Amino acid sequence: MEVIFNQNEQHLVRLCKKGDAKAQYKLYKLYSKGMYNLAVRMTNNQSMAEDVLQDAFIKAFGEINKLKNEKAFGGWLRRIVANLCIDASRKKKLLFTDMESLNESELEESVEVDDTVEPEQIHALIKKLPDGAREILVLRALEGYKHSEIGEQLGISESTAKTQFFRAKQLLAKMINEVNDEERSGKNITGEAIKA
Amino acid sequence: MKKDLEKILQEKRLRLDVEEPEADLIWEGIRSGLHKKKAMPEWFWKVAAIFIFAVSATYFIVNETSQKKVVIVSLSDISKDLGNQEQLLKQTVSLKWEEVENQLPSGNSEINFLLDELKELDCVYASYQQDLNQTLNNEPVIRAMLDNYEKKIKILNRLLMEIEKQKHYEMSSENSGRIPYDTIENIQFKSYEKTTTL
Repeated sequence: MEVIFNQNEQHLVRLCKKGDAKAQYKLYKLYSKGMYNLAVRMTNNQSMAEDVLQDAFIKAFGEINKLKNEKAFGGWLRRIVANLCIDASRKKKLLFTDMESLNESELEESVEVDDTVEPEQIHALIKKLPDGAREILVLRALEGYKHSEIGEQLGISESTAKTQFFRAKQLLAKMINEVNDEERSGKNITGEAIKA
Repeated sequence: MKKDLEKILQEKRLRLDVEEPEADLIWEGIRSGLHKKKAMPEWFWKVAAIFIFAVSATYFIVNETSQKKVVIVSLSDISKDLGNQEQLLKQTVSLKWEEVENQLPSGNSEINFLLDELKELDCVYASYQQDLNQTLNNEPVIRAMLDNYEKKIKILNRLLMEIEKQKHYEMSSENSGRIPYDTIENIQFKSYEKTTTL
């Protein structure tokens, strides 16, 4: 996971530890967009994501003195957001449908898509995934959680987490390929129309 | 060009953040949430918890020890009337007991039986007193305690009657030259002892 941090942020975290309101606002402005997008991808619900964002910052600023490594603020905040999203989904009582478990070699099969897919499209398609599959995909592929951690957090076995992740990837790839195919056929139609 | 989906997601991760939150509105919520937290800092709750614990512990200890200290010795601790009643009965009992004690003969089975009854009543009274200490103003227990005194007086009266009867019997047998019943019993017992030892 890429870690972007500079001295200014470290200074802001130090000021936040002293309860500086301006520093809190600056840190919020720096991270609010990223955290909101993580929450909205996890929950697929705008108002729920806003609630999570608010609660996450209140928790983070309230417990900032517990953070020993000031450079790790971003990663620490992402964990808080992800955990609050998991708590919110627990309230919805997410059900993970029983799936035929796959063997290790099947799970390691590469799921490939066209590289030209736009980030906006990926974001929109992730949101369209079913609840459980979406959470597992975000936690694993974007937030770097281990399968065992996902299993623990969501109350499922590690093998179920692995299988669900593989199915989520397959489903997302299928959706991306469909969008790509639609775009190609659209371009062809307009090209043919221009020729005509 | 086809590429592994996981790699694509990792490469484009930062560019996936395409939605804009209602930042100012959410910040207002955060600010008021933090203000609430500031109003009641963590140390305040800790101090409050310690204070409540100390107060309730003191109350509990004081309550427990004071409850143990309240030992009802007599019924006068409950009410004056009950105290007077008990006092009167106690006096009667002690007067009658003095009378009995001064002329108590030995070896009379009927008198021994009545003395045992008195001892039994003393034990029962002690248990009533324990009950009263635990339940405080318990009417059935109070009634039983007063009743206990009445029973004692009746037994003491019977004892006096028995003593009187024996005295009368001894006097009449002395006058008639007959051996008193008790002496006959003793002779019979001694002869029985002799037969069994032989």
